[in-house]
Amino acid sequence: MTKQTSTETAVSLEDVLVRLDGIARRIEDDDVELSESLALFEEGVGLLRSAHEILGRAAERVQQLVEDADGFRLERLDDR
Amino acid sequence: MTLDLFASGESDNEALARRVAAAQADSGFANTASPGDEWSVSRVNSAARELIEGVFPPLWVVGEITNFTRARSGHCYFSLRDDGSQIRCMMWRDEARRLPTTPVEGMKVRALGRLTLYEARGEFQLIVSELEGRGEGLWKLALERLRVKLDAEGLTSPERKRRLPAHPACIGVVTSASGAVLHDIVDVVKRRAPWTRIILCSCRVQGEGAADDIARAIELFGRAGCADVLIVGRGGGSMEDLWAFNEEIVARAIAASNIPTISAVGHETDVTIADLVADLRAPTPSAAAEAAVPEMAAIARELGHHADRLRSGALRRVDSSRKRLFDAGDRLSSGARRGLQRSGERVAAASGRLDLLSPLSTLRRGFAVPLGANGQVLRQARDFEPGGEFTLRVVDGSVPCVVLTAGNDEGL
Repeated sequence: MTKQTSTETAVSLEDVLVRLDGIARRIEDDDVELSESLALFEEGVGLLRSAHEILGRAAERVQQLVEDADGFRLERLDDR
Repeated sequence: MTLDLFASGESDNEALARRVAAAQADSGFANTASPGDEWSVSRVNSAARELIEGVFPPLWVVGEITNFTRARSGHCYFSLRDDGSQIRCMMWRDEARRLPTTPVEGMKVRALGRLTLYEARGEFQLIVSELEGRGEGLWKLALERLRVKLDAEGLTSPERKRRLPAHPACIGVVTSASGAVLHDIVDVVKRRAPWTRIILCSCRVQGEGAADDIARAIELFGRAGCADVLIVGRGGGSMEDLWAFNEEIVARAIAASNIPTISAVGHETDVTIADLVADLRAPTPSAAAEAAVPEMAAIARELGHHADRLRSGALRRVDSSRKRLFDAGDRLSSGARRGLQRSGERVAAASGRLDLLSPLSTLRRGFAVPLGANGQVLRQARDFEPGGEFTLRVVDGSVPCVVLTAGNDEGL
């Protein structure tokens, strides 16, 4: 998914879960060296932490996509 | 002078004839033709037109369509017929434009129109302002024609359907800002996946210009690139109310969109062209939202599963390394042994953090977790020995603690 205008700077849940799955697959691989295994494990722990942080985020207000002279802009949608 | 002619309930021809005669007298017609009183053709047609228009109120006329043609000007011409008669009809361009499609030859219809006489040709005709297929005939016909066309292009084929993203960061909603649709979607998303952003692009969802609006909103989301999945829809209504979602421009906008799209139009039983082209058809807006976002509990389970895989994977590697070194016996240097021990500790320490991950949100609310020397959770009073040390894990760190006196382990 392209996100030219995403206002988020943080990684998305999707990115985190995809990477976690990759790490889990790799760490289960018998060829992995001990040091890589530990590095993967620590990266995985960090990603799990990020994922739980995303899950704990409060709901944002609904925004509205509006067409304008420059193409489009996002504005707050009130009374919701 | 005419409307009461029909409204009064006089249905027999004699009564009608008397009324018409009275109307004629009012218009200055003589009772018999005289050679000295010659009428031009124009005068005849003009008088006849006035008489016809004056006598008949607007009528709903039922019959079969024949010879329907749409002129270059946009006006439409056709006849209505039954077993014994036919009548010429025409529709002006503005009214004809509201027809969902061109009726087929022989189709049973009803037409609302005013009778008149086209003076230039002396032709008796019905000026039709509304034309309806019996039941929803004309709408169904239009829908069927477009479906066949889109089928032929492959736009409705199951192979074209895209998978929805499993964890969208942002949902785009194309609907009216005033309807209940957005509200329903927001409710479901807040409950299931509150971290998901929602962006509305509001548009008209029924009436003149609604289809163009909907298509434009879908295209705008495509250009903005700010949504991972789209929900396009409106609440229930008549087939005519839902019509915008049966228009070609909307179907093509959905098909051309680079964002997977869920349609949620009307009630469960209404199937529109938009539903056929969308990647997923949801019976209601709430169902669309449920299909769009995962449930928090499911993700928490998924994360737990990942944590287990990570831990067991890492521990297995540490164990196998330890075993290899152990097998090496005397060759095992103290340095290597120390390195291995450090590795084990790294896993244990990180594992300890793993255990703390899922209750993070609980800690944030002010709860704390007491941990023993080995990082085990101390659950019961008897886990705490007087004078024993333990660590209290709070949301932003740990606090070293000492147990003052023996606790009371009797039940609550």
